[in-house]
Amino acid sequence: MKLAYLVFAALAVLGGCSSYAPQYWGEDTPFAQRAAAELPTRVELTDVPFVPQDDWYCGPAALSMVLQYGGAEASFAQVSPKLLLPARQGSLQLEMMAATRTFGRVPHVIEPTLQGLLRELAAGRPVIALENFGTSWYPLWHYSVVVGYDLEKQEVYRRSGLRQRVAVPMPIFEHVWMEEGYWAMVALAPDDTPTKPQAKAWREQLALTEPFLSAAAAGNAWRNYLKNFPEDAIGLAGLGNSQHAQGNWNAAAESYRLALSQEPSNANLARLAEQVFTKAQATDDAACAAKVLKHGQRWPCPTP
Amino acid sequence: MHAIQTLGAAMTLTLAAATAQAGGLRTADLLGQPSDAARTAAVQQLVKYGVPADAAQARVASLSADEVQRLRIEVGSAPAAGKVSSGTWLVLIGAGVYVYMTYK
Repeated sequence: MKLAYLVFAALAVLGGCSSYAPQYWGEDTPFAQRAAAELPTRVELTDVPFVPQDDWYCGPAALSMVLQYGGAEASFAQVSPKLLLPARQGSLQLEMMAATRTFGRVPHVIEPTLQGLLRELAAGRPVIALENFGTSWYPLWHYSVVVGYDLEKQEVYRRSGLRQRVAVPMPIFEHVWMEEGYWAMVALAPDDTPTKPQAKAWREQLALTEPFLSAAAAGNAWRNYLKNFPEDAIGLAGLGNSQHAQGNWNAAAESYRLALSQEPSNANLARLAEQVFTKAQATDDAACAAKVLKHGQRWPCPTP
Repeated sequence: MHAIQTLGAAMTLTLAAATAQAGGLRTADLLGQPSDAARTAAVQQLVKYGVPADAAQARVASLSADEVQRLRIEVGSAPAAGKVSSGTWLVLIGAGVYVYMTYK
């Protein structure tokens, strides 16, 4: 492995450092100094379990490690059937995210920067990174779990393959990570908040995780989302759905009234709202939702 | 045709189970649902790439409309990360030696 790093270092010298690891070497101020302005000097999440991988199985191994660290029951044997593509001898990014959801955790693609990755580690979240150990024309893709960093030594620490702890110089890590647009993900607890949350991506992942959560957990997840985006119609509907699932008909109806007030012409919203209002015996509101759905009426309907 | 009908029926049951768990209303329905044809095509793609049919159904059932579409299109071309073997390292080291010998 060390010999391979020497090869990478030689290629860096030949290719020019800034193109080799543009974020690390791209500014006048050294990276470690920039990062140290906002992050602890050293972080290592030593409690992240180690799951050694067999041929083709870096995806299941990486995801199993991260999910187990987050408290999910996700053994290698449980994760593998959700991820492996035998004919490709590996796992796809979108299925890494989909499989995460089936274990009741919310996948979040992190900010595509070295500093963003270290920020996740500082927040206590191990990161699954997609690396390319080949070239753009002959890629050799690999998932590893980044569990720590040291700004003084300028290293990151990874769980990878059959090795529980691999220290890698930051510019070399950046180089193998950058090929697929610095793609990396974390697995959040349902009521956890992503670093730099963005409404569309977050609510979509929450909505797709919801079927794998209890109604109470889904409710807590949507409440947390609404703290960040209080006027989001889908978030309000998500809260309404969890209230509906728990038999809180009136609370669910109120959540749907708020959702429709944000998106008065949303037919999909009106379809679910009609069911909720009917259950809550809010007959006028149910009739209005039916008009929004079938006749293009805007919510709220005029009082007769 | 019978196999496709069986796949469709199994997927419907999987979705119904998921809906029941969430209490009947799915927030994901507000994001747009993939068509049955799109789901079936995605399942067939996974099966083509070696995934057992029952596992393929379960995997597709948890995807969004956008993910189903991407899976159908990208299953053969998107990065599929597996293992970086010792053989791979030998290739890389060989490439490094070649570069060094060429440009020294």
